[in-house]
Amino acid sequence: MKIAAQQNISALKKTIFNSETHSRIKKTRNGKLTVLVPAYNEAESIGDTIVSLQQQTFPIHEIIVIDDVSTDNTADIASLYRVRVIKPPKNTGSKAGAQNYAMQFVNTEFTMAIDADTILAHDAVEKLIEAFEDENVVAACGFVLPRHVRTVWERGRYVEYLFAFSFYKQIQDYFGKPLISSGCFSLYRTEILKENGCWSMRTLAEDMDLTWSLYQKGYGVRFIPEAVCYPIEPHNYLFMKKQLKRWSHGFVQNVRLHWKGVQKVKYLNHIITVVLWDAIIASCAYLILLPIMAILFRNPIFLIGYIIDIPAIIVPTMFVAIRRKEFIKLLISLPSFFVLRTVNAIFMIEAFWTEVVMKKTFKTYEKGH
Amino acid sequence: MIAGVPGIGISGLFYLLSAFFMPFFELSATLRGRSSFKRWKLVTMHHFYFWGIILGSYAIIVLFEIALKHYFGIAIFPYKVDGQIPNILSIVPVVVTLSLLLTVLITARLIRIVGALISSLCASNKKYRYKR
Repeated sequence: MKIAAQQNISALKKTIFNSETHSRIKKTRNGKLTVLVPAYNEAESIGDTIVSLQQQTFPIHEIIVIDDVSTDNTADIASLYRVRVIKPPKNTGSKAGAQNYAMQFVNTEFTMAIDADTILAHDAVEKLIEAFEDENVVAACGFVLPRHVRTVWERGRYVEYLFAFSFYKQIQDYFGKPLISSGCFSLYRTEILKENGCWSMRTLAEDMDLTWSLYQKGYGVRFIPEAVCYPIEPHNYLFMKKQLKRWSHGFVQNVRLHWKGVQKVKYLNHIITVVLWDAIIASCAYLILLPIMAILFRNPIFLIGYIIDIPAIIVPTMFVAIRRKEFIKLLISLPSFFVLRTVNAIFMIEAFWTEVVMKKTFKTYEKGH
Repeated sequence: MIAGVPGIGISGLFYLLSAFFMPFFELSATLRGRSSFKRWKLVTMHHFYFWGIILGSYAIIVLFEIALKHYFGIAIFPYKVDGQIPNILSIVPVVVTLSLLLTVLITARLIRIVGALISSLCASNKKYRYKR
């Protein structure tokens, strides 16, 4: 056992100081990067996004803003920042369409897609690109937190992201299967992206579609929690409704599309199974079954379903919030999480009913802010 | 984007169990020379989350029981065993959720197996028809 351990340590040292590994790390860090910023009526936020990209510690070869035939002065504002601004002949109808249009102009080793309302921590790209030292990794995403945390909806989303990205997603990454490489901030190997046909427009969640397609082809996807981005989240119910409808329908559309293929992808198949169960069955139990059982049996024991997972939410989020010096923000925002979760459950049930039972595909892509 | 409804249902237990087993997977990786300090730090943190969530959930259940019994006079479990009301509330949610998780995962696995069997039967039937 001692000899085996010593041999393992020597093997490990050889791996660390192997010149091939050194050259792979050097190659990744020297790889050129093009950033795509699809924008439709993003005049208020595009400037901040471009500045945040230009201040990155990792050098960016080119920033391409795709003005998807905006009706405001998004293109004019973007032009002030010495970036390439392109405009498709007509509105492409979605973020995926705009990004696909831009891919003809990308010749660098890496391509990054970022939302026009998202800003990055100054070293986010540098942290993300390290994931590609593993040659099998073709996509990587980072930690997402709302830029503004003021309204009930933004607070609910803040807790939701803090929980998901500090707990669920890190476990998914440990087992090699982050569920989605988030569309708001992801980095890809250009060659593989183009081979895969870039971002498909067959579902409303093109990021999920791309991620699951990559897994089925045997590629790796990573989640790097140190790479942080801050998108603008819906601040009122009107915009939240649009975003939740898109996400919930996108999820169901992807399950319908990929259910055969993902069954062969280990661990991902389990993640999707439990997520699908919770999205539909647990949502119905949460909204309908638990209150009916409590009334029918005149026993409040069933109401424990609403509070039993409070520690599951608080424990991981508390540690991350303390580290980020946002503990008070977390405490104030916690009740909003349960409001958002209830609304989310309603949209999930609606999506399942519309897409699977009624067999109507929802295709309207609407912005969430 | 977040798929599903975070925190509720069996996915919470699924990730909890994943967090519990992470140190064992990492130990295996260490023995094969594929670990690092960073990975152990992540694993330890999530294993710690596991115990924190378990203890927190137990505390919630106990507080819930106390609140109902003492402040609302409601008996959750109306039957007495040896003169005492059994404290089954603490384990019932865990047992139910764990059973549900296992049932869902096993059912999904069975569906995969049956689906693969049907596909291979259809493929061999086609081959037979062509040969004839």
